[in-house]
Amino acid sequence: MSTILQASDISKVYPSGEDTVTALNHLSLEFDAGRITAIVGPSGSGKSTLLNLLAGFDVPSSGNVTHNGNSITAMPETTLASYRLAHFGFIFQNYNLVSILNAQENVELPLSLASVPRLERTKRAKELLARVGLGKRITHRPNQLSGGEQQRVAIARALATNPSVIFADEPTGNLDSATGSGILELLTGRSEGSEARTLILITHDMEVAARADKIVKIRDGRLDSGA
Amino acid sequence: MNFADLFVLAQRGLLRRPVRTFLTVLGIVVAVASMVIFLSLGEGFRRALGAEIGNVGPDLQVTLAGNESSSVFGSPIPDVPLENAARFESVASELGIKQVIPYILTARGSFSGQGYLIGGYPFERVPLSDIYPNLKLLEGRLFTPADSLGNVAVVGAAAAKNASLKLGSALRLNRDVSFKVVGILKKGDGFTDSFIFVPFNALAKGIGIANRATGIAIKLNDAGDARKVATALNARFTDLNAKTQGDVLSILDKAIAIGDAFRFGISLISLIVGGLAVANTVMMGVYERTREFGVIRAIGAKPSFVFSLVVLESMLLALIGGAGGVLVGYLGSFVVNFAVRDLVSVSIAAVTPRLILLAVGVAAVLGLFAGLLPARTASRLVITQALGRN
Ligand SMILES: Nc1ncnc2c1ncn2[C@@H]1O[C@H](COP(=O)(O)OP(=O)(O)OP(=O)(O)O)[C@@H](O)[C@H]1O
Ligand SMILES: [Mg+2]
Repeated sequence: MSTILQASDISKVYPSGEDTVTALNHLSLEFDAGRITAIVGPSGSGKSTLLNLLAGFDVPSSGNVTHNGNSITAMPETTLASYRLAHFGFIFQNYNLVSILNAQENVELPLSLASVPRLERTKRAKELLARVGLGKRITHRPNQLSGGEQQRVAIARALATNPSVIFADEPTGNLDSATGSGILELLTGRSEGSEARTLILITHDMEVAARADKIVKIRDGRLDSGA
Repeated sequence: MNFADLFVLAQRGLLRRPVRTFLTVLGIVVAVASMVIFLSLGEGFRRALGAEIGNVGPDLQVTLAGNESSSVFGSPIPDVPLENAARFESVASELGIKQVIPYILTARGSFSGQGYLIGGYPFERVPLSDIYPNLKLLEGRLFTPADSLGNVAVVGAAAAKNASLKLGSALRLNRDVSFKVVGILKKGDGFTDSFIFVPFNALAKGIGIANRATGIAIKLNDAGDARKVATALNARFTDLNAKTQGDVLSILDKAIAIGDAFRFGISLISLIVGGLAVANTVMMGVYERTREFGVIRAIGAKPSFVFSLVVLESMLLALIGGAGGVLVGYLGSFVVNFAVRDLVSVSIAAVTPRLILLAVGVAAVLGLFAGLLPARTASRLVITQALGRN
């Protein structure tokens, strides 16, 4: 199994008044391609901080993150933005759809950022929305959709560019467990089996974590090797 | 992302708060409209002058040196000694001078009321059509050589209206002297519509002036020599100042330009206020959508994309306001012209293509500058912080 994403000795230190908070403390991790990894740990342990560094939203105070051998830590922001667009997909806890765009336009957004021709991206967006069961809701704006529906639009958006890695920070956190497991079904997309996608997700839900290929436990900014 | 997609995003961003957007656009409409109306005044004058002096009138005008500031046509009180006419005649063949025409111009009435200008020319030897070829007779007759000292007048269309003159009616110059209207001119589109033409000698006698003129007009054999002849005359007669049509035009133009600068200065205040309103609206939009900008950046938009998006929103606001302002200003110029139609004979407010271009340009620059700060803020936001905000 090949490594697609690698964190080498990363730390993240936040200033906090006179003091500092060490959110991540010399942590090293590898993620295998095509696998689902669940990151678990108590609140404030540094899960979101880790995910932000892996996804290239933020840079570590020290250490390095590489994707397929490319150091995303060393990339200037403009290069990194294009890199995220090309290789990563994201799902957030509170869906984070763009309110001025309808479901289809939200799914098209990463495609139009990538300058995919209109016809092609419209086709892809409709296809993805149909796949997440929202084929009849494509013209609805986020405020016309339920939480679960919004999250399904967010999943379609994350899949739009066919990224090699999808990051999800508590994607089922705001949803009831039945809806949550439906979401997970879509995310893993295992039933179709076509795309071997790497999924890295943070969750508090042990049921969700149990479906992962690998569970990474974090405590106080370090790997929790106990338990 | 191509421009059409960016445009849609910017437009959606503005329509998110339609009332706020509308009010901001309205502010720009008012600012640009006031600028257009203010500046249309100068444009109207400029156009009328261009038509008047550019196409007709004498090749050169001579007034006393050092008197340029009083009026381009000469001092209000005739002060040019008539002997000068003889001095010009003496060099006529040498310099290619065809006609030497002394004239007296005197303004009657005020600009707030029924104004007109009385122009005395030596019609006994120079026909009106030689001086102002564009003027056409509507009724009555023009001057004859016998009119040299006759108290007769030929009246421009606007002057006839303003002074309520008809064929045969009497124009009172003062207590003792009046002129009989023998001819009325067709309506033209220049200042000569406000002229009342009378014989030079009769006017001089009527206002009690001897051997003086407001100025001396000179017609040349070849109008193309105007510049050369003016230089030669100014070198030879240092007490006098000979101006070409171009000189007169540029002096008037300078006066109008000063007025323009003043009026633009006034409208600049409202433009700045409008610009601040745009900046405020766009900035509020950025603050309200911090999370969404964070999402767009997280997905993979470059900082420069967010920057362009916000600047485009700002420019859209300003340009829509600018277009509305041009339209309202255009309508406003009609109102101005309608309101002053009895006071002046020309349309003083004109919305010319270059004024429209200027207004749209000003709006675009306004939008650009108003958008810079909000765009900078939006493009520099930290993704993790923006995403964390609810
Ligand atoms: N921008 C920041 N400035 C200062 N401290 C921060 C910042 N972001 C996170 N922290 C701190 O870093 C630590 C780790 O935070 P993080 O958000 O990664 O935790 P988490 O494991 O995701 O928690 P939760 O399960 O509650 O989401 C916390 O102590 C938090 O207070
Ligand atoms: Mg978290």
